[in-house]
Amino acid sequence: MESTIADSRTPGDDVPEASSRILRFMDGDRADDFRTLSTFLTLLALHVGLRHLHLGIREAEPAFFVSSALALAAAAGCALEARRDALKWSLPLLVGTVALFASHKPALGNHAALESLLLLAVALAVPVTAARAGTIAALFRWSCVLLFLHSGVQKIIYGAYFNGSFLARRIHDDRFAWVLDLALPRAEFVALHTADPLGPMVFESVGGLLLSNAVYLSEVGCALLLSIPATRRLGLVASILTVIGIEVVAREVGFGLMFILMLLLFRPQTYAGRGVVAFVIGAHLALGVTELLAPGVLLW
Amino acid sequence: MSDAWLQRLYATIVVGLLVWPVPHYYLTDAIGSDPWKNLGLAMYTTNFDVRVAIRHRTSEGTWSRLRPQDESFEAIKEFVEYRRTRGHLHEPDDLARTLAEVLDTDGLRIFVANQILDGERGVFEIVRHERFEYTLLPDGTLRGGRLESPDDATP
Repeated sequence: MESTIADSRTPGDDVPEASSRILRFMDGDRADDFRTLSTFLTLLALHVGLRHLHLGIREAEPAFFVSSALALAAAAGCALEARRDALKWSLPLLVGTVALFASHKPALGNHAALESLLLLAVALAVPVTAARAGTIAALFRWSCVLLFLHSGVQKIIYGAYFNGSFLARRIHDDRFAWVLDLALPRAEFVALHTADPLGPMVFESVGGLLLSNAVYLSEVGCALLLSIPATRRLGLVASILTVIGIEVVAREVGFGLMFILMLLLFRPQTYAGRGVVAFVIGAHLALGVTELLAPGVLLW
Repeated sequence: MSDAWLQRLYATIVVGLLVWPVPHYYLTDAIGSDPWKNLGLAMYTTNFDVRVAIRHRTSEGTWSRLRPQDESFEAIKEFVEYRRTRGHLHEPDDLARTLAEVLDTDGLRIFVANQILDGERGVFEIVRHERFEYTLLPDGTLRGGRLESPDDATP
């Protein structure tokens, strides 16, 4: 039960060549099978459901409990429907999840906004069958490239990484301070600590400047490596290492986990075993327990 | 939806997102929103903050600076969150209504400023001031809004 973008053309269906070519550009290194995609969508819905549950508890907002229940029902539905080779009823639940979430959190953060956009796009693809698996997986692969590209390009546009002014202002943030302590000479680290918070605050040492410029260069580099079919495998390894590197500092473990799962759609065979499912469920439980034991720690 | 339309839709999303940083930059600049919001996708790009200062008319008729607590703090937090996304398109009318009730006052002055990092100079500076003034009328309606004179925009 495998498909590629090219296979998804049905008789009498006039697939526009340009659209097909854009999506086919992100074909994986193996035809995407339906089971890979349904496993990924199950995990994505599970992740969204648990995150909304966490938000519901933290903000005492009943709507998030409802959106969490919808997403968890979608996850269970995906897992059950996957056995029948078509996702029909579970995915529309995600529209309710997104609508409820957006209506109570209109000031959507960037990742939540992208996640909502992708969930809506998948919900529109119902019924999700083997023939459509390639098209949907291609959208998610493109999202990986675009996330890296935007991350790098927007840092370049705002120009706060060339001289390290963004990272310098993070000197009082525990998540960043330990890395800056490693990268900067002691005198510069202390000087930034006691500097006027309004600035100017920039890096002067080679270590600081290298660290700051490496951030957007690695992000744009990952986007390029993933875009070129010949370098895609290298790009995948580099991307996973970059995400791990970012999350070691930023500590948004939940997001990092989903990003890596999305990246693994470039290697669909990763989803063949039960290991990835067990790992994701275990990781989310660990996130939840950590939040309970150490409230306020940013992990989602 | 047919396969063809699905592919068209997905290709449109991909192309739209590919060029999105450019209109997003101009949108952010035009409305004064947080670069991390409105599908900015990237995080940790630059520093942005919304500063709010509030003065309310006391029963003696003098203006007193608000020290946010509990309900007023939550209302200000919500306003700032909306303001980050909608920029200056979001005016503090709802905030003023809530504060008038919580503080039991008939006059409010709300000062709002955007603070953004100038990447080149490394300076975190205020780039947009706005001032709003509201009066609670005897019939319970709140009248007022943005004052146009920038000279009045300092708390």
